[in-house]
Amino acid sequence: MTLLEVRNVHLAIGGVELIRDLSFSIDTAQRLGLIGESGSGKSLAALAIMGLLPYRSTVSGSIRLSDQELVGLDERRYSKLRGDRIAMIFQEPMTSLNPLMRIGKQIGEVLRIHEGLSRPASYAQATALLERVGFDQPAQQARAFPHQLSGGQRQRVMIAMAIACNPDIVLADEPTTALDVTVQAQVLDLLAELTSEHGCALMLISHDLAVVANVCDHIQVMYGGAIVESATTSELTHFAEHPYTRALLATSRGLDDLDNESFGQLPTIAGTVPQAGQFPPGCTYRGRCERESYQCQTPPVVTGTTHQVRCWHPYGSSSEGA
Amino acid sequence: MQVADLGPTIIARRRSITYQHELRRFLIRRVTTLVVTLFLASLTVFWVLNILPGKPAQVILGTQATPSAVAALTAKLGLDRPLVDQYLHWIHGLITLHLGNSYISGQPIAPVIGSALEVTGPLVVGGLLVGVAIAAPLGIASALRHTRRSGVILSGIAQIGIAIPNFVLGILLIIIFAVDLKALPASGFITWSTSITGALRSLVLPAVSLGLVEGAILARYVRASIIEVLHADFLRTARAKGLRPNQALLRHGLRNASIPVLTVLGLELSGLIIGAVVIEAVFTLPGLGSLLLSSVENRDLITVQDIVMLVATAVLLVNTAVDILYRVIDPRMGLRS
Repeated sequence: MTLLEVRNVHLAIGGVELIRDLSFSIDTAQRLGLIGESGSGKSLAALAIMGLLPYRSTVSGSIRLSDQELVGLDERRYSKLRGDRIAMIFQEPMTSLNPLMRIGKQIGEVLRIHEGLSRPASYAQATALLERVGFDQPAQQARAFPHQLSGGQRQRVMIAMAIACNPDIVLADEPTTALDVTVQAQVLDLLAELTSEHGCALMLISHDLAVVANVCDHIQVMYGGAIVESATTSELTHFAEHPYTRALLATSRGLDDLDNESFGQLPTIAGTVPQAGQFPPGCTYRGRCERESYQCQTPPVVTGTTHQVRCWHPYGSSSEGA
Repeated sequence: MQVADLGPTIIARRRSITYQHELRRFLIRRVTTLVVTLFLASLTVFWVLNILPGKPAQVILGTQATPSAVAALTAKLGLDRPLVDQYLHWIHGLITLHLGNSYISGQPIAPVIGSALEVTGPLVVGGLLVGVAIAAPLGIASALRHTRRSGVILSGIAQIGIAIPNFVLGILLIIIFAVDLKALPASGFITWSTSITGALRSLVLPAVSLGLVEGAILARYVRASIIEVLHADFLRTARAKGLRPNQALLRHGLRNASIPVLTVLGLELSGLIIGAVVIEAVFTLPGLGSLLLSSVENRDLITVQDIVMLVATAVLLVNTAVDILYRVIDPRMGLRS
């Protein structure tokens, strides 16, 4: 059943168009991965769903949660959904928590807002949540201030906050990027485990294909403010059709090869991501693409049903080599 | 199981013991610093005032006085004794609150300063309250609207407030409220013992002219720190939890924003004391400022010395209080340094 549906969303900040024609949907309890380089618009997509876009942003199109339209929803009703039905985990655990408030109180606050719990009851619940996200002395650690915790612990606090009210969907924006590699996997596992426990959908945003592939059942690749390819995880990793997806895959496979004997150059994607609003007309990947032709000056149309790709010259399903 | 359960409790208790221990050490260190600074301040004040040209006895007796008369008066005032003696005598007096006798009138200084403080104390506190009462709403309102035109207008108003010197504002207020509207007295002071409302009425205009300018300056700092907090990640987190923008600012923003404002507030207090000297002159109030000015004119150095030391003590005490308040507000500011 479709839980969240994003249809033809265009987003501009200060007149610069940063997301063009974004459409996708997430089913109940689905785990969707959104990958792309910085500047591809993936974080903005999450903020648009949360209704927490920066000043001077304009959104058009439609974002529906179940049967509730979110675009243009008034602040009072939107804030009732945030934290309760849609929750978000941000990239920077260092700055995302209030430095002057004990973490138990910060977690408890969500429950006080949405479930009307009293201060002591919410605090007790927060302690229980801390235990669930793996704190070994929750009663004591609830009294800690954010600066007394490690990055991984802070991100666990963020997860506890996000799942506190059993939301329908959690949007996680690069939740492990700021963490040590050793704790990345733990935090991801925890996130996946806790969301699936309650049939909660997860949208995981990352620039790291490997991270997303481990957790998600479906992956969407974003480039230049649009989704260029969308497929199930195994389909996308094995039979990528868009040249950009292939390039991304090649870079992460290049890292794996380093473990073997081929100590060569790391594969990279030619060129750099253009600045916001400076993407070429037509296909946004134009200029960096190895398959570019005159046809790419007109915007490509999306083809395919379960495996969708936005390209004039996609690689054929499995016949052509990478 | 029992033992395992006890673990955290013991640790928690030990933590709170170390916290109290650290708190005590912090307070001791802070008070020691205060005392040392006060000592250095007293040395400076004493030294500066004693190298000033113009012997008090000469000034008192006039240019026609004979050298022997001057010497006699100098001896009588105790000014012929070694400087160290004079200093120790003065310090001893300060500590025991016997501030000595005026060179000019021969009367004890303590009661004179005491009655001047009855004017200046309420004036400075009133000025501070007026300042905060203006700065907080003006700063917050202009921060919340900083992307809109109304916010620009609000900070423009604050800018004008900064540009007006407080004595000009004082004269303006006298013209409007005392001369035209005849609502409040233009000058003078009715003592507290005569009439409390009378005393308050005579302090309203001075406190407002003192506070408006300080409030305008403070408003800019309030605005800047609120804007910074509005862009903070944790405020976005607060909104993502379901708090509406104003709730998020109230519960998560104000305390964070108050930290830099507190610094400025502490610094501004010395500005207020200096401002009070000028304002007292404008409103002819018998406060510390007027006393200081007349004492300087009369070379009543001992009174000047006492007043300057008093002001220095007040400023240092406020700084210490601000320093301790930081620790109360911000847990990140450990107690160690």
